[in-house]
Amino acid sequence: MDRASLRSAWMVLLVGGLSPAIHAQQGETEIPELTGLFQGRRCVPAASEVCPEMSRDSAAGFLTARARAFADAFDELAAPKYDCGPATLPGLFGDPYAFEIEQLVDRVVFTYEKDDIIRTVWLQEHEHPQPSIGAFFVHGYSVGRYEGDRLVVETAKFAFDPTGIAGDYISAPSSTQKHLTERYWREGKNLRMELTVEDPIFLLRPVEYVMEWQRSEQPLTLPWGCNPEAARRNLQLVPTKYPEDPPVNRGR
Amino acid sequence: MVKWVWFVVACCVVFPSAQIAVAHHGAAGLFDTSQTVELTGSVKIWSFVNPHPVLVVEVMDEDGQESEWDIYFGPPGASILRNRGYGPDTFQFGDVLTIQGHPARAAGVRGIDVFGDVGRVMKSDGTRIP
Repeated sequence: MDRASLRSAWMVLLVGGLSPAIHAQQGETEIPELTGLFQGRRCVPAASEVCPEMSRDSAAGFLTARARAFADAFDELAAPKYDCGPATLPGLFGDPYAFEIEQLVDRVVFTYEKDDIIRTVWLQEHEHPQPSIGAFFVHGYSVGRYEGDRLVVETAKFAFDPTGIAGDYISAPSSTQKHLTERYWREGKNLRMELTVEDPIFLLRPVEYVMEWQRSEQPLTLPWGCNPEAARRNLQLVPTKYPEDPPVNRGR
Repeated sequence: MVKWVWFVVACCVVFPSAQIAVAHHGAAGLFDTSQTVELTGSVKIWSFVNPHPVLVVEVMDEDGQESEWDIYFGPPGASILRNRGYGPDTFQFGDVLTIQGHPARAAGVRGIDVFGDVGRVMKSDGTRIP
């Protein structure tokens, strides 16, 4: 092989190795094609006691006594969403907004229309630096791997979240022990995800459900650009549980 | 002018999905679905923003007193409402609207939810918006 051919071969290897999107094989594993835009979430099956979010009726079967006590004491006024705090997991999956998956060589990036959320899933076998012991995150720290036709995402290192198990029907918290397992695969043109939520502090047993999204051609409407004044407007509809407390000025 | 219209609401039976959607984002029980209220007033604020657009209408009651009413569009943010035909220019300051929907339960709050089945927003000529 002459020098020019050798250089060409190196370029092919280099470009192939650094290409931002991957559609082919990685080692011996066929990587599922998940890159794309998705919208129109629905639960599979449609009738579920926990999908898209745990209902008040189903909560008793899932929440520990301390979670139920927290939910009873929690004042809606303290919910982070009224300061434009982003939707958290798994509640984000229940929001009816579009998102995009982008598969890169060493990571998978989820961009959600809702709240301008971007999640990076660090693919194993790429020796990414690990977060320190004391680091916790609103959306956790996610690592991923391909298993057959599925992308498996494991997320831990969540910060304590007052509405981290369920935020709308009830205010069920999640702890720093919350762990999510998401399994994504293609079902024809659609995208499916099997979700398992575990939290030994606030859940009696894992919450599990399957969601499906349709492929979309419409670009995401970004930025979300949450407006704090608009976010707080709904608060006037919800009387505080603690009227004896001084009023809260959120305007800072 | 504000009119209170009392009737038996069948939407929860006929449109269970609408009921679920209203319940999303903590709206369950925030509006009295057993009642429907209709008002006519002029647009004071229209802000097509997330997480929820803001529409404030100024209404004059029978005694000549002015009051502001907040119009709620349910859980959808701007991108979903855009797909339903709403946009930043849907309403202009001073537009006269007739609005029908479920009233807020909270004491002293002037609010109407137009997201549910009975909700509608109409121009003064009766044309439905959007």
